[in-house]
Amino acid sequence: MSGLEAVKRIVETEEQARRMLEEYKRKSQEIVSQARLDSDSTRKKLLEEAERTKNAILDKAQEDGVRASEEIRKSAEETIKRLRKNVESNKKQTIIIARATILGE
Amino acid sequence: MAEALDKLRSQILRDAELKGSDMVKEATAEANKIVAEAENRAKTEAEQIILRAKTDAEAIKRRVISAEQQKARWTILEEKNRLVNDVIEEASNEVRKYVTSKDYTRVLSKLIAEALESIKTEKYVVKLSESDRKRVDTGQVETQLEKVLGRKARIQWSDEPYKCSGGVFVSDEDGKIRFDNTFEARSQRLERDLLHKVSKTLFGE
Repeated sequence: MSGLEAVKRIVETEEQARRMLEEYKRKSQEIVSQARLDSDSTRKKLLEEAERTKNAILDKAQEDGVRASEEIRKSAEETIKRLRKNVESNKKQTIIIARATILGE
Repeated sequence: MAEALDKLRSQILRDAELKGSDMVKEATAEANKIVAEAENRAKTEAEQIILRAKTDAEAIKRRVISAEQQKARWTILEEKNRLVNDVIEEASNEVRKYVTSKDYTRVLSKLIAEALESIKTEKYVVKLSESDRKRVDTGQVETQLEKVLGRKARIQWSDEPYKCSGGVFVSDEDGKIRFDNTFEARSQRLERDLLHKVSKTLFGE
């Protein structure tokens, strides 16, 4: 083999090595890019799940509030019923007292 | 020569292979770091969202309940006011009818006596309603008044009627010092006392 032939073969080999490294570089870049895409996708999924949970919590709070309000309303109605019942038995005496107050008795 | 060349060529390729492998290993490590850090950040963000939601939820519940409690208190208070006013109205009606009762002259004398205690003067002018002027025995009133006061008072019964349903309007001779002891004025003056007594008796408070 001549010297020239030898150099030619080394240059070819170096070119091959360079192409190999290029491929590895491309693959490495792809790995990092894919990781960024995967992390975006994971972030999106986690935040969407959190939003769903948030809405469920708020909806439940509203429902609980409405239920509690209903109880309060019913309780007020019962109180008014009791008031009216008590008033019936005390009304006559109260009118007598009020009349006496106005008349100065 | 050929052997040396082959060795060199293999070395070049092996070096490239090693370098390439290291590149991929580093990229993989970086990728894992990127994914892990992003996941942690996202989890923290998600936890914040849920924590804020829980705080907001409590506030929503409190607001809804508080509004309903306030409304309930008002409803009960309105009903109590209505019941009290009903009673006062009925009592006022009974008071207005009282003018035709036999006991009315005694009541008049007491009302006049109260007015006299407030107005310190020599002579008093007493006004009655139009119907009382025609109906009431003023002599009887004066007799009862003397019993109440323990003395005789100088009273002049005015010819001028006073617009009221009952009771008396008393003044000095000049009309400058006055005491309105009509039923209407009394109801107004005693409103607070009346409301208190009525509420106490009606609701047992």
